[in-house]
Amino acid sequence: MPGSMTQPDMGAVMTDEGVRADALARWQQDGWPGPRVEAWRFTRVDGLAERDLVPATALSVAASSPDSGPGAAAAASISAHVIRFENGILDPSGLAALPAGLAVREMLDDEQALSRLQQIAPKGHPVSDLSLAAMTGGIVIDVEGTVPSPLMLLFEGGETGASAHPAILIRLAPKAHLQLAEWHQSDVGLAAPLIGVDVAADARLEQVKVQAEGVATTHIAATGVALGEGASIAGFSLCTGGALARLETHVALVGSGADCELSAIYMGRGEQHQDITTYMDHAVAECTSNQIIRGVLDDSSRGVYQGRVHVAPDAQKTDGQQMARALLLSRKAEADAKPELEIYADDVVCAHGATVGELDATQLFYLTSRGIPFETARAMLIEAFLIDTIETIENDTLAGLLRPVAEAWLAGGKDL
Amino acid sequence: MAATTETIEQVEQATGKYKYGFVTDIETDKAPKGLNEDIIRFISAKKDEPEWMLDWRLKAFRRWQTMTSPDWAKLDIPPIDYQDIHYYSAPKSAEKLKSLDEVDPELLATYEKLGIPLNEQKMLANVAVDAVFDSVSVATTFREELSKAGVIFCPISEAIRDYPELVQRYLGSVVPVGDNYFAALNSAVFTDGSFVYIPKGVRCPMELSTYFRINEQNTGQFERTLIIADDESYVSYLEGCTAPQRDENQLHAAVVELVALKDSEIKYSTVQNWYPGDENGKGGIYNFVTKRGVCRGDRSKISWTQVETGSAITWKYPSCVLRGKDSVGEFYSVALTNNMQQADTGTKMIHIGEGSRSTIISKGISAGRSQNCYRGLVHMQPTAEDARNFTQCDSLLIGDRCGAHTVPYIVSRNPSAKIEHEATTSRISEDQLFYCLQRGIGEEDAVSLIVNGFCKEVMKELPMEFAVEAQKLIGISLEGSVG
Repeated sequence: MPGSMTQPDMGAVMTDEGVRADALARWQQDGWPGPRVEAWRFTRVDGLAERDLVPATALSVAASSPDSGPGAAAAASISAHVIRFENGILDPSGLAALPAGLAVREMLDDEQALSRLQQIAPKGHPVSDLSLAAMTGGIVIDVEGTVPSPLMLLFEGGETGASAHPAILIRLAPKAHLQLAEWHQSDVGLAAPLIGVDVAADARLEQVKVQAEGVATTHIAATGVALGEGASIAGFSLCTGGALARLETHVALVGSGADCELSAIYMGRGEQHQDITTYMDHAVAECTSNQIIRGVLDDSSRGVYQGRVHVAPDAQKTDGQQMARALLLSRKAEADAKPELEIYADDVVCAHGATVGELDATQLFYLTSRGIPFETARAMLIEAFLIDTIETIENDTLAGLLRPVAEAWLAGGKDL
Repeated sequence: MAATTETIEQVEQATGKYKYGFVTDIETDKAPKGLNEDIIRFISAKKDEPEWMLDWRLKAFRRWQTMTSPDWAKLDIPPIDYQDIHYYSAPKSAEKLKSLDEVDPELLATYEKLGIPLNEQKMLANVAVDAVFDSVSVATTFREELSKAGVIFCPISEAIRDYPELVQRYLGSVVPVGDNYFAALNSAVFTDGSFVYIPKGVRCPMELSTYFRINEQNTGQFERTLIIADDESYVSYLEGCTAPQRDENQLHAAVVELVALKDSEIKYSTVQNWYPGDENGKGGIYNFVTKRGVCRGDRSKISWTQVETGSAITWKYPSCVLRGKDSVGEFYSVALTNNMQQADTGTKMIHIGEGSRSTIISKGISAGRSQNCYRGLVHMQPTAEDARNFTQCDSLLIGDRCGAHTVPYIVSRNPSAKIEHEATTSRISEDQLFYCLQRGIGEEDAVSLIVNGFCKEVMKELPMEFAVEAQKLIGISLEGSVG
């Protein structure tokens, strides 16, 4: 049984019944999954149970200046409205002066919202239960129409002994459109954001996520998305931070014509462990999903991609694609992949591809033979491998957030 | 009779419905139902085994008792009562036979129905047959010709007696007793199987083939096969299976171990056509097989080819451990499921040696209400400098109530190793079907034609004798899946 994580301080919110009490009961029963749990075979989190982490409480909010960090600067660069969480606790100032089309309020004990969040959240994921139960701050974001400027959810904080459990439900009304950026850059012991996105018919969410947590932070994110008829999401995650990070996203395509683009790049250095796990649940006919995953692993880092595409018996005319590539830059790096197809309908086009290898020797030769120094040539190829993927993001504003982060990582390489 | 005639006849026999559902009525000598140390001692005594073999079995059994049945496969396996199985059953002719004339005529008739060319072998393209009837090998031919080449090809129970040093050295060296639940069970109770040793520098003069046959109700079959190819040798081994039609499920847990030494090559081909159960999933064989080969020597090669059309449940992952420098592993598979069949099959390629290469081509076909899953692992260890893997998994769906799944695991711990994996899932192309129909080809034939085309890359790897039969099998197995 996990140590202090079993008794998150529920304060006055907790009652014996309700969504959060149920989540707590499940968490107390299941705890962190061990290495024998298939979904966690490549990523060990059971060690978290030994860590003396305590869900952050309001008292621990440090009085830092919210406008000073790189996240805030990035938000300013794209004129995004910022809602900030410090150690997982909501900074209420973000709820004021919202752009048109956005309504944001605290989740508190809104059973309806909690219940919806629980429904959309990844099933069987420890954070789905833990962060509901131990919620350190929760908000409900309602989106109507086209929101003119991007919204940034900024997660910061320096409480190394604390765990952060922000819980967020985002609801896009029919035909709504939102540009969303998530920026995770903290030094908390465990960052465990739980995010549920409900995209109604013909609505569209364009989303980027930057995971640039501190070197000692464990980041385990659970994101659930439900796509209605004709709804779409274009999501992109960039992971460079944390000691161990897992981004798990479950997408339920429940309305026909729904479309999901979900891509990610991850970069590992030192002893870092980066895990991208996705689950595409094609529940109805005529939906499309496409995933492009790329990873670069240096030193003794390890990268994991697990992607499952499930096509339900009646989900005919499904198009599901996955492409995962990993680049190993060091002898001690490791890449693991498990792209999975689970198909119960016949009229489908589903495919996946996966490659693992080092930089192409012929490409390197081509560049060096033209007088480019080896190290420069190598850096160019690594950059091309990663930046290529960012170029596929349609929304230039959001893509603009990612490029500097990727470039900073590339510049930090010991070979550059 | 000429070889070609024989083949055509076999094929014609195979074109009906499942023809092999018959039971031979032969008195059998069998152990009481159940599994305990006494049964294992009984089997070992029946086999006249040395002490070390009994100890080995008991060690496996003790290990098995601490293990649990694997549940990670995409299979729905009804609970199996391991105490409700006879672990030993032998045709009563206890004495060794010197020629085919001495074999029980009823047995011979059974083989004839199965199309095993015992009498016609010499004409039929150099095939030596070690026919396994239930648990005891009753006829082994071509021994002389093989022994001239120095090849040892005999029932493993004989090898345990006659070549103990070889068996002791290699048995369990590829699949250890505690490898998995079914391998442990097999190690404890295996009754027979084949043993092959190809000496240094020898190219086996003929293709070796064993026909396995399950008979006798409630008899589990636990074959054990061990093939050792010494330096610079070559052998091609063919395995084919048919089983009588039964309502009760029958358990089959075989273990096959291959050892390829320096510059040697082993080609292992299987056509598996055991009783798959009826349209409603009643009956059928449970096929839980552990097959693994080690490329121990440099430049050695192991190639697995399988055509799996039978069995109610298939759990099978023929694998290669590529230890030798520049060693090669291959896996070519066609798995076809229809009606209520379930298959979870694939391979593991463990790259240890520098420059080792592997190729995986898997074709899964699901029809009816069946579930077909490819599960594979490609593992590049840190020592696998410049190793290479290419994997292609294609699935074809026929009908909207079946499932096709692909679960590849990729682990790379060496930057110079290259892994490429691709998988697709689709249904039979309407254009192709229309093209065939429009030219007057019936729908079932058209489907069979298209499916055979889909499998061509694998089929061409089969030895000729099997290729024809396997093509027909695919057509038969798909019967009733269209229209």
